[in-house]
Amino acid sequence: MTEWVLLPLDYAFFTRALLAGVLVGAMSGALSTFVVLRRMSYIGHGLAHSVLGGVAVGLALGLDLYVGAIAATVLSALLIDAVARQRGLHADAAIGIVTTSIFAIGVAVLALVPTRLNVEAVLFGNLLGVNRTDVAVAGAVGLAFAALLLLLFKSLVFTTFDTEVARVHGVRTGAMELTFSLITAAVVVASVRVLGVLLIAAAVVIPGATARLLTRSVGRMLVVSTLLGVAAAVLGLYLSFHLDVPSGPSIVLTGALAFTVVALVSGITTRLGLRAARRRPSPSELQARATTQDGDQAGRTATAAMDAADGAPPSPRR
Amino acid sequence: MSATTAPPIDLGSLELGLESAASTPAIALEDVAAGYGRRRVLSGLSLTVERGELVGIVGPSGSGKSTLLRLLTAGADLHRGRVEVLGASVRRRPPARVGYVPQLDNVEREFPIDVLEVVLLGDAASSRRLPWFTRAERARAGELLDRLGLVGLHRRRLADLSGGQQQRAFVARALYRRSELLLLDEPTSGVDPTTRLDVLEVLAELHRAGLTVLLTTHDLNAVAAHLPRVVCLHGRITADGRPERVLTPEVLEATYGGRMQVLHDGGRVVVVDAAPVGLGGPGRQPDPWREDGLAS
Repeated sequence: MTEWVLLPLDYAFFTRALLAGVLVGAMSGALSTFVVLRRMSYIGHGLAHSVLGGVAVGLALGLDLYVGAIAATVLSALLIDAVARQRGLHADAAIGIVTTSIFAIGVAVLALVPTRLNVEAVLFGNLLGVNRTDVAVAGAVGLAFAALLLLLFKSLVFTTFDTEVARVHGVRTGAMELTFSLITAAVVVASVRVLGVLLIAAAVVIPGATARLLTRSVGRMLVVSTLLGVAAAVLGLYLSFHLDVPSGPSIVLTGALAFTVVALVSGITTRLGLRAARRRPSPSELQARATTQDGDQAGRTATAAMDAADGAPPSPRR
Repeated sequence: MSATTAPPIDLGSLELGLESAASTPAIALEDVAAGYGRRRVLSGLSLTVERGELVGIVGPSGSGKSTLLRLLTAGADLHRGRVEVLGASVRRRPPARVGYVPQLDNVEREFPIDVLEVVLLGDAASSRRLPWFTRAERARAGELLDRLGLVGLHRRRLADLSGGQQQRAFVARALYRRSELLLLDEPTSGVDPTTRLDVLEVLAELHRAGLTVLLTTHDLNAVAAHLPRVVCLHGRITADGRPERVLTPEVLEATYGGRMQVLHDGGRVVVVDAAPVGLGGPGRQPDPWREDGLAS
């Protein structure tokens, strides 16, 4: 076991990939909290696909991989916005039209113009292909993402929870939406080398979905999904090294396995909880009984009764 | 408040946003035309709501009730006229000190957030930048929840609360930013009669505490029974005044485009649909599946 862990660390390419993987895992994990809560998994899927088009066109023009990827994601975001403004169309149709078209352009360019692009590596991620630039890009995007999260967390949560009320209450919701789109695009671009364009979408959904089953607080969900993203990246990279499979699939499958286990356990505990709940009065029944009493004491009695019914400790009081 | 259905609220000494009460009206619309882009929804609208009033806006779907609320919060396009809220002109940015309570149907109740956090988010734009709330902020939000009768429910999820408790939590969020004006979008929509009564009693209590409250509703009888002033809207204002003067068959026909019966029971006004033939009217057919033999 020790050798299984330590042996890969003797290779510089693996330590580089591990560093980039931890950064990408943390970013995609944190992002997945908001992707899941905003029900926007399709945007990650779409932007990731458009990256292939940008990379292919960029390399055909002799540009760096990241230049093409950034251009493609920015162009996609602008076109999606423009198409979605057409009467009778919604964002999902716009994403499908724009990003699939850019993906198709990439496939066509690869067929017509000889490039040095390793298509399989771009599609599925490549452990061997991670270089210092990739680590630097992931680090820069990670730092910017962390800073924005620290500064905008409350406004981002308010906008995600209730956009219209957040706007009326002074949150610049338009700026929040734009910031979220830019963060998503940046994380997608920074994750291309490690995860591959076809698997980024899963990485920005699975940790958040798993964390959603484990916690009922958005703050804790953010922490848990970030840790899950890092854990899946680290374990996935080791599996990629030892089993000689591309890094993207191994990371995504690790995350998917964690989700499956959590979903099964969560399903079982929910069923057990429901059975137990059927044998005792519901919280609303207890509340109704308790609030027939007058005043402040009524609420306290209700809470104590509900806590007891839930098997929970008494609710904290100021 | 219905003593057997909901805990009492106590706003007596609570710090609400009333210290800046001024001589200007809470809402002043002057010859307003508004809509979205080129589409015009409201036209020729002039309305003044004084500070401390409780006003209900009624009208059919598409009559411009929600657009009016959006106009007051810079969420609709002003084509013509002047909009002032709490003494300030409204153009691009929503006015400060306005609290908004959404329709319950539009709220994601399974969102991973507890009641205290819901209230704290109400002033997220003014809160310090760090991602957590201070002890003082939590204490103030907690006190507000207690005053609104949600004692001991601070750490509950929204989904664990009844409809009336959820509405109280959203009212608390609206008040948390020290609002002087509360705007409520269909607060009695999709709730049971007990919850409806609870919500209306909470609003009456806020009104007694001196807040200005403007709500939209489809519920004519709730307006008639509980609100001192009603504004009928159908792209323009068709009537404005006390319910017993405004809710007449003529005004309701001009507003809703159909006949309605208005019954007077002592001091109460009750609005009922004028049932069309074939739907419970004179021409209804016996229904053999019902014990009383009447058509359903």
